[in-house]
Amino acid sequence: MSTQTTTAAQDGVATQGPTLIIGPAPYVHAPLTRQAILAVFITAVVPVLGVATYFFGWRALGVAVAAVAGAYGAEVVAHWARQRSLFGSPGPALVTGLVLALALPPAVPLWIPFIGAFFGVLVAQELFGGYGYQIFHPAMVGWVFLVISFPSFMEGWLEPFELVTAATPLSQIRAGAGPDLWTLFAGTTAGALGETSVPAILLGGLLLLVTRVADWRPVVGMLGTVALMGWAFTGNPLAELMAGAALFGAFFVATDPVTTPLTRWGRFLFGVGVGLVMMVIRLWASRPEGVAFAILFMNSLVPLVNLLTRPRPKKGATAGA
Amino acid sequence: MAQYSFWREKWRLISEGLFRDTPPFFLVIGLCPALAVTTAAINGVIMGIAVTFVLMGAEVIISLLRKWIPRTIRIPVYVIIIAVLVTVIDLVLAGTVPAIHRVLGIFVPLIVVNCIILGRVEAFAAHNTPANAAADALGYGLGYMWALVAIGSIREILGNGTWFGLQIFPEGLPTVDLFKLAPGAFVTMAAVLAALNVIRRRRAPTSEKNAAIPVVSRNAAA
Repeated sequence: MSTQTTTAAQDGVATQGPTLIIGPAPYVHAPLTRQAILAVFITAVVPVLGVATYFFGWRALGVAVAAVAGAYGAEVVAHWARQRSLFGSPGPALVTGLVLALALPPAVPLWIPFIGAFFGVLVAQELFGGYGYQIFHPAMVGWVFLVISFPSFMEGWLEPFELVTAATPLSQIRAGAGPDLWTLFAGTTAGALGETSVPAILLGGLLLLVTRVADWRPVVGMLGTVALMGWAFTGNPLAELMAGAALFGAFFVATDPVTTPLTRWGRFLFGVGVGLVMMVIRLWASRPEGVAFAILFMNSLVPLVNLLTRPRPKKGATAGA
Repeated sequence: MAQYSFWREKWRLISEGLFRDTPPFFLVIGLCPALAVTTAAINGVIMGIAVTFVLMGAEVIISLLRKWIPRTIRIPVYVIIIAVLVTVIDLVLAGTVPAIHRVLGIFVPLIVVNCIILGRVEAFAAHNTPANAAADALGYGLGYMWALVAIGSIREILGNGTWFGLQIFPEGLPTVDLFKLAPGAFVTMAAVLAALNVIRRRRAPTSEKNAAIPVVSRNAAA
């Protein structure tokens, strides 16, 4: 057998007959396929979207539909430009669209989520090679694009049920009079569609963690940092956790499989970094909330984090052992 | 040179800078002003005039002096000539269009170190006749101008709803503020570059279609 191999290797070029084509690693198949991961994620978002609809009315669903349409539209346009088959799987567009929609204030006109998702997917995802190749989270890019481009439309904060204009709990806290913790927990406060209700986020988040679609490390790293900094600088860590988009960001954005580090402790560091940047923006910058900026900032550091946390062989281990 | 025609030769030189080597798009040089001052189309016109004036003056003067400038100290000599011309246009702009001069700010004095000027002077004017140098300067200067006006137009129309100050979109329509800011300049620049590369690739002969089209011209020196 060994002689045979040698001969085959020697005449190399003149190989005929069927060829074994070997693709790049990895070869191990996880039970969770891409479709399944996206399906679980979308299921996990359902309670958050449900509560948003309950709080802010059917408009919330309209915002979600517009954002998903924008994201999918951008994919179709990019596929057309790259001469691929036009209509791919709707999974990635659903995820990006839903995350962006839930990060928007309730009173936005419907073209805002559409344009934001379209820009985010086209620029941050499709220009980088399509879903799976993006460096920056498309929904966060879309959100930042909207905040920078249409600042006046991105401040339509409404009180749930009554739908009258109100200040968000974060700005109330900074002004010195935040709502009590129970109100924050229940989420009957003004804020982005998906960020107010803690039980809904926890329900969806736990589903992500239990099914292993999301890693617990970025969540723990981010929320731990937020709590620690909240305790150190405001003395009220629970309020810092429950007000604003910290929880939503930790469970649904910082756990994104594509734009976060590959290594386990890299993901933990990623979470810590997001929490740190976010709290710095909250406490000392001009904006009340900074989750999206923090995520994008840490996205840009992912290659570095990967490098720093690269697993090394144990001492004494040899190659092939 | 049987069919040598003075004007045909000049037009060839002008069109080279105007279309084939348009500085910010195809040579990808002179980018700082192209990104920084193009918030409105009119800024592009004024910046383009300033660059054309300096380039024209520098190329003609250096072409005239090309046989007397010692090779070893040519760059300092070029820079002194360019700096004089830049000071002239800076003061002229400050006196005639003070509002736009304020917007252009530091980028007018910075024309002294602009790669287009030094590049064309070094690569062309230093060994060509004054007439040819003038044609070359006209082509590259106007090429730079149309590029800045193109970027400025896109940014002004999307970011402000106006074009050369004229209202294009109805007053109440929301504008995309991103295009007024620095990231918008990069996004616009990238989009225009991509579009022009696609057009060039489409128009290239079939054999070259799959090869990458080089964007840097053979005589780009800086």
